[in-house]
Amino acid sequence: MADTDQQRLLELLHAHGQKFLDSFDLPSPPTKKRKTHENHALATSNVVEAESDEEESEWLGFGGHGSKSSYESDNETDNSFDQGDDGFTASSSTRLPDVIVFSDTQSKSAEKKIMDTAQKKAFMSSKASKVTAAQIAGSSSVKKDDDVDEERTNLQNDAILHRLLHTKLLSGSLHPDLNLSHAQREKALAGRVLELSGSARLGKGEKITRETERNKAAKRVREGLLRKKEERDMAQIEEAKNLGNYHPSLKKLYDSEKSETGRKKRDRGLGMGIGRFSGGTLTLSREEINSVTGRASRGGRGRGSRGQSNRGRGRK
Amino acid sequence: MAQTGSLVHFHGHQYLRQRLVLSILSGKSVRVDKIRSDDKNPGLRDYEISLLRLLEKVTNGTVIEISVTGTAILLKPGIIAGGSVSHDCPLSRSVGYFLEPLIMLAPFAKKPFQLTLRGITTDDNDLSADLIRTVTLPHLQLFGISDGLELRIKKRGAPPEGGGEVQFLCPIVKQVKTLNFVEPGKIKRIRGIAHAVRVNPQFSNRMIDASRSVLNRYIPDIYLYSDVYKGEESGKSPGYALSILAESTTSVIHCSEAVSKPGVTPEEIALTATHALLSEIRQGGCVDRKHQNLVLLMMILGSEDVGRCRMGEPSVRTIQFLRDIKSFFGISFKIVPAEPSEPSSTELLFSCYGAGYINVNRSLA
Repeated sequence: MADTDQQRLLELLHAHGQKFLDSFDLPSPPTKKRKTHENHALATSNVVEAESDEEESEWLGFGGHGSKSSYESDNETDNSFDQGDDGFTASSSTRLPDVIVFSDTQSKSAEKKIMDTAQKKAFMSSKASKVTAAQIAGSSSVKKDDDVDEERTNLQNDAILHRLLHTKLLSGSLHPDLNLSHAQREKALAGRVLELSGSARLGKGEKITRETERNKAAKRVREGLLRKKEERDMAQIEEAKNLGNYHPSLKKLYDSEKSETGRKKRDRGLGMGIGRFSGGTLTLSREEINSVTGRASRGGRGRGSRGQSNRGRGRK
Repeated sequence: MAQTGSLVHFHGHQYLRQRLVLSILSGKSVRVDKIRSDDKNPGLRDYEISLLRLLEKVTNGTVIEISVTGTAILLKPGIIAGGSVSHDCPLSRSVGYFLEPLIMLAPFAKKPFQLTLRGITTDDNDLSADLIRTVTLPHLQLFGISDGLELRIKKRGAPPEGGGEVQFLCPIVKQVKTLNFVEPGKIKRIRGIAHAVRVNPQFSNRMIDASRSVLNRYIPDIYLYSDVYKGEESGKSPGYALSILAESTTSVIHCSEAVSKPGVTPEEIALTATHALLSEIRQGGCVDRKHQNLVLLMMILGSEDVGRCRMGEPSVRTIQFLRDIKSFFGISFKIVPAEPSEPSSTELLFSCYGAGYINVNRSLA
């Protein structure tokens, strides 16, 4: 009898463990328990049933109904054990109503909160365009994928259109939104024509037209214009210095006039026909050598490099 | 600008603002007489005088003549100059009274407007600064006036002492776009602003709760914000108000508001505003009743094309406004039922041929 008693206790422990595991919805089919049940089904069923009541009260905390039903079904299947296995799996599925789904609300709400604050900020903004734009943005986030795709193609189309419009030959200066005065527009147009014809570099056309126009003026006026320009440049440098964003290395940026002419480097040393003599040596530049040997600078260099590479291969 | 010989004549003190605006825009002189001539206190009120002064500030070359008794005025309009102007509004009316006509003028000024108005920002007679910012200015956007359109509420001022300050910035346009707005859509969101100055700040939360109790059953997308102004910014007098607006899928905006009254709880104020919003939505149409005038004016000033707009029943003020438009611009609207098949529907379709008004005041490019 001691043997059966021990077995009974073991069985109880198993049942307990199974119930515990079941409360987590783990798919673990009990194996050993079945056999013991098979052996002692008739002998122990009453006792187990009696015990089960106690355990129910203990385990109510885990979701009483589910555990109870599983345990009962366990007991029921004791009698007809052919269906036992199915019964067990079924019992885990009947547990479903007890499952409480804790969705990941934390991150969602945080995201929503950020959106809310952005919405609020936009709505409370003093700018009228923001008040309405925010509402449009809010609604667009709900859009379907199709709409998003359509919008993308629309955006591409917009980009193409933009490029078309802005690479037109003469449109730039004639655009009415620039609010140029008539004289300004005319000069800009003339400059653009110069640029297109290739007689001025890109972006310099207008300046050239202005300069030629200036050259038509009387000398006094011309000088006055130049002096004024110089004064303006000085004032600009002065202002930059006062603001503290001037550095001697940036001087080129501020001298609009001088940077363009590009002062020629004065040859130092003694000039003697060709090259220059300084520090006791005659220095010849590459061009000067080429002018004597009669080789085009590019070709000579190219050949030289090729030769070197050949040599390298040869050593290998 | 003033064309000699073109003089429009009116009687009575009503609709003075819209007549002055139409006069300045059309360039026709206006003469208004019998201003409260039968009243115990005859003549112009202080706010009307103040409005005339403000119009004189924002224009150049305007001649205003007021009779000795103050019961008749003659206004010969000049050009709308714009620029930065500041004005102290009297405490008898809110800044909305002064802003409404100036919003109609501002897009056609010579220089972009930078107007600072000081006084009461919210009262129960005129549009509050909140509604002007959230509803009136978006209505201007329908006509292509959007970049740089701004209303900053620097300080709030409740009646009777005021102490508020708003700053209105408006860009200038060459010409307004033609409107074609006939789809009212469905209401998709409701927004609102509750503010309480110099009273318990919980009042705004109480208003929001009360308003939500009614609105929550209709749509889920409701946000009512409580706007907090402290210390100097909150003006000189205590007060609170709730302004709500409903926006539809086609960005139609309906609005309503309610302002604190002595002896009334915040909950009741909120319910008044909420019910007013619901009845406003019930009116239907694409334009709020308080903004019919603005939209109609911009429609006739549009380019020479047919503009159409669907509206609810016109208010009394709108009907008079249509008559005044006819006497100043010689333009009349074609008004037909929006849904002829449904006899119960009161919505109307307004269409007109634009005057092709071009902003001649704008500094020439």
